[in-house]
This record gives sequence, structure tokens and C-alpha cells, in this order.
Amino acid sequence: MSSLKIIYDSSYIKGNELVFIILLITILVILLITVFLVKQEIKKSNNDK
Amino acid sequence: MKRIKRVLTLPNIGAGYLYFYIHFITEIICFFVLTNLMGNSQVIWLIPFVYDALAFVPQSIFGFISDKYSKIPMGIIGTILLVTALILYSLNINNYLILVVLCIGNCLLHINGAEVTIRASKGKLSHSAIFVAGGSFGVITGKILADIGFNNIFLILIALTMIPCIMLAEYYRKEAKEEKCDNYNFHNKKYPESVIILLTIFIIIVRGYMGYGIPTSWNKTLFESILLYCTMGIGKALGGILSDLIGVRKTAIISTLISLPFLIIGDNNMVISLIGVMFFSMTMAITLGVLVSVLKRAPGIAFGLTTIGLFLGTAPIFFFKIDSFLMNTLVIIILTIICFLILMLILRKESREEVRNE
Repeated sequence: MSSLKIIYDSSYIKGNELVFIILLITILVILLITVFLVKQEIKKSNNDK
Repeated sequence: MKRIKRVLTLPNIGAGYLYFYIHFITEIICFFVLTNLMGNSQVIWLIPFVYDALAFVPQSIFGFISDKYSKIPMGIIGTILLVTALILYSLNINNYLILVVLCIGNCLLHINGAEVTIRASKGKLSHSAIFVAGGSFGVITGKILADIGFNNIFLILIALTMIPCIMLAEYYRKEAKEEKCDNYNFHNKKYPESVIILLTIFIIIVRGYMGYGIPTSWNKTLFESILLYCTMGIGKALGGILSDLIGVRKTAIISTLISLPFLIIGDNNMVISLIGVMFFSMTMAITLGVLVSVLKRAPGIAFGLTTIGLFLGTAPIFFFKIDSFLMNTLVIIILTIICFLILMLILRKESREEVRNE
């Protein structure tokens, strides 16, 4: 799609690459934990029925 | 008129009004610090991205902790963290440390607000909608205060005014004695819970994306920005109030379908655009209500899922931009129609009597 323009530039995180990587890993870990927690809650609510 | 009055004076709605104020102050502090950090920093791109990630994503984990251990005073700890962030900012300490403290404080106050307003509401959406609306007013106020160089010490004193409100709001939660949110029954039980959750998060992602994607070339002055944020806040609150008045399904239809033409034609006309923004913001309370209906035992996690959706919706804005007006309009139309169809699928049909009795 020609109208989709990439605005990200690697210079944005220059000198802060480590912060960016730690942040991405943290987001990923929290998302995985959330999926696990939601699955548990769905199981519990199904048992309640 | 009588019915509107009845909704605005619902039992326990005081929790909603108190958390409107708490949310307003929370966002003032967060956006005051954030705007100042961005002004002083070389990494203008990274700071808002880190803020969005840390303020939105971990709310599911804090929500889980709050659901499990209701005695932890999340609101008070959150206030202390916000005050600490303001002190750290005054002392000019590391930007990332300030951001982490600020975001955790923000998360705790949001989660506490969601827990208190959802549990005290007995199945009504007005409580949490009024709570969430406060944020929009806070965001723009915080930005303005940062721009005029408001004094940090005054802001610390303003932050401390949240503590009595948090303690008072806690009274409503205790009075409601809600273990499970059994009064929340907005989802269509034909579909599995996991499907409902995924589809609802998709709607929130779209809303998050469209919040930035909506064409608003009229928005050039400070006054116009204030109007835009205030309209968003009013729309969020109206979504909950209207759902309690006419039913969730009707509100979803009205808000999604009416908003679309107004948003598209309103690119250069402020009044038309603001009407669209107001209707567009109304689905917020509905999506939260659907998630709580599925996760009755865990309103904290349900609220956390909405903020994860918002992060996933806003994250692409940091990396991509749709350059053409035509393509942007087309994307908005397609996404709105998909959201409308999903809402029709996942929302339970309410009978007239049900809505009247609510």
C-alpha cells in the first residue's frame, strides 16, 4: 500500500536500545501472563455454571 | 427527564462521581509530568511510547492482584507513587525511573477506580462510564498546566486531595458486598467466552487506533483541543448513561452508526466532527460491560484487557501513518462496519421490559 508511510526511524531510540528491548520483552511477558490468567478465569466461570 | 434523573442518582453512583475526580487528577499529574519530560528530552518518540506501554499493559496484572487481594489499598499506594513521581521530577532524577513510578501509580489508581465503580454499580454502566470520563478532561488540563509552567508543589497538594475521596469511595464498594458481578449480563451466551473476549478486544483496538486516525484538520488552537478532549469525556459518560436508559444494544447501534458520517464529513467542520467524536466515544462503557459479563469474578482483569486493547490500538501510530485522506477514510469506514457487526453478534438482545426495569 503506497499510502502507508513508515514514520519510525531507528534514530528515535539511538542510545536507548536497551530500554526499548527491555520494554518490548516486558510487554510480551505481561501479555502472556494475561492470556494465562484469562484462561484460568474462564475455566473458573465455567465451573460455576 | 425523570428517567435521566433516576440514572444520575442511581444507588452508589457517588463512587462514580468520586472516581471521576480521582481519575481527573491522576491524568492531570501524568500528563503534566509526561509533557514536561518530552519538552526536556531528546527522545521525544520513546517517552510517550514507554508511557503508553507501562501505563496500559500492566493493568491486567494489577487487576488480577486487586481481584484476588481486595484489602490492598491500591488507590492510596497509587497516590503515593504519583506524588513520588512528582518529587522525583522536581529533583530532576532519571527520566525512565520517573516514568516507571508514574505509570505504576497510574495503573493502581485506574484499577482501583474500575474495581470500586464496577462492584458498586450492581450491573449499571453509568458508574464506570462517569469514572472513565474524568480522564479525558485530565489529559488536556495536565498538558495545559505543563505548558504554562504550573508549580509542582501545588500539584503535590492537589494529588493529596485524592486520598479522602479514595477512602470515601471504598465505602461504596464495602456497602455493595459484591463477590461476583452477577448483574452484568450483556454478552450473547451463544458464543464461547474466549471468542467474546477476543472480539471485544478487537473493537477496543479499533477504537484506540481511530482515536488518532480520525481526521481533525480543524483542530489547530488550544481552545479547539480543549473542546475535543471535553467532548470525548462527555461521550464516554453518555455511553454508560444511555446504556442504562435505553439498553446496551441500542446504544451500541446508535453510537457506531451515527458517529461514522459525522467523523468523515467533519474533517474541516468542528461542530460536525465533535458530534461524531461524542458518539464514537460512547462504546467505551459497552465494551467494558461485555468483558465484565464474561469475567464476572475478575472485573480488575476485565478492565486490564480494555487498556491492553487501547495500547495495541495506539501502538501502530508510533510506527506507521496512512498518508492519503481517501485511504484513511476507507479504513475508518471498513473498521466501523466490522465493529458494528461484531457488536451486533456479541451483545445480548434485551427485552423492552428488561430495559424499563433497569
